[in-house]
Amino acid sequence: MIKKRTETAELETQNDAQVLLTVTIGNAQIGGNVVRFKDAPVLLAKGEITRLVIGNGSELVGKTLKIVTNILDVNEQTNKIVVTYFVEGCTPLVTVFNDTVGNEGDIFSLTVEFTFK
Amino acid sequence: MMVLMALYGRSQMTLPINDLNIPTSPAFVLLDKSPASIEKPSSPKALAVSLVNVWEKSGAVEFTPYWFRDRPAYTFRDNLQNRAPVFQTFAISAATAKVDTVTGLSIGFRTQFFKSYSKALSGDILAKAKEIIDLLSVENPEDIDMAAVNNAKKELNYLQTKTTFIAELAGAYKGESSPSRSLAAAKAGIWLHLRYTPDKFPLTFVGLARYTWGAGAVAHSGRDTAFFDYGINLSYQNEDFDIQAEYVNRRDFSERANYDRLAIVVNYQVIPGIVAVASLGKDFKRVNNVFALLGVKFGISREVAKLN
Repeated sequence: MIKKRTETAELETQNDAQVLLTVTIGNAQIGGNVVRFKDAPVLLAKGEITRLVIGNGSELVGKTLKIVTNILDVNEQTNKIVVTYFVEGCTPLVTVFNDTVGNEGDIFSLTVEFTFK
Repeated sequence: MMVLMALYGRSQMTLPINDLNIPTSPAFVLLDKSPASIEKPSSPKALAVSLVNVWEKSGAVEFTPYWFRDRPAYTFRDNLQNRAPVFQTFAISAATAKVDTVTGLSIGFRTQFFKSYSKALSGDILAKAKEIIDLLSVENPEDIDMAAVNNAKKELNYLQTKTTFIAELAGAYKGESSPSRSLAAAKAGIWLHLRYTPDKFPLTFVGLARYTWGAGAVAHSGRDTAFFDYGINLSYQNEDFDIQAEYVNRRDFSERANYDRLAIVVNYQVIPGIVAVASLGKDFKRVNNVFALLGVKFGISREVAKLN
């Protein structure tokens, strides 16, 4: 079974600082990501995301980054899901989302749209 | 389904090594009763409710406190490489049962205090995790190949059970109360389990130990006092045959006596579906204690049942 959720958030850029994205899947679960700018045809990255270069702060203002994170519950000790988005070069630096799936083996699909200001 | 035809040599076998295995829920074992249902709360609030239910209506509860809170920085890789997952695997079990006018209350714990995978096995597990990550990396979740994900998850679960070395500890304590007597200690037990499986050789070494003792009134009554049991099992398996040797020793502290048991069991597949079985050993008893068994097993069905 797949549980879906959509979230939006705003990020304030710090002038020309380079913006880097890291996605961490906690609770010993396994997850994969797809990253692109909203409505853009080209994917930025997929899979595990560690310090992915998004761009310079000033170039990103007004743009929206869309991240789809799909997490499989593989931890038999818990059905809780927690995913952390670290966006270096922006404020807030850290955005965390928590949720729960019904059973082990279920998938949690989170779509987050970060708008840069 | 297998049909066993055997020629018996001697008396029945007692205390096989599997009896010394750490129980999944130690509290339930001391209660000598299987609970009708087990509540597994995942938060402190749910735990409070479960404990009230267990106390008032009899029943069982099992929980792992570490996972009551989210662990945002604890990744799958961290969990794989964690050689001392004491907190992550520390589980508490509690149960109550009523027999006539006596209420039994048992509480137990279980944890892995050491776990490791060989380099090759770690590599296989991470490769399987990467396969799952790739399957999950799709933009539309409806496009996820669920059959492939489920299959990969099953393979991942299987790989994760093949720990190279594991050490586990468990303990439990039981009390009893009745209308004429307030809650008092009755019985306690502690278990230790060690297993080593070398990577490149299909051999497994298992060591098990258990110490159980009567507490309070039970200890003074002379029934069911203190025993220390330990057992060692060595097994080798390949496609056509497997051989197991096991030794179990019991020290009865009340009788100040030692008993031991040695058994060797061989299964050999003559042709697919027909397996020859032989076992030989020495039982706990002091006389008439040698046993020998020779038999043939016929496979009627090719289906394999697995317990997950």
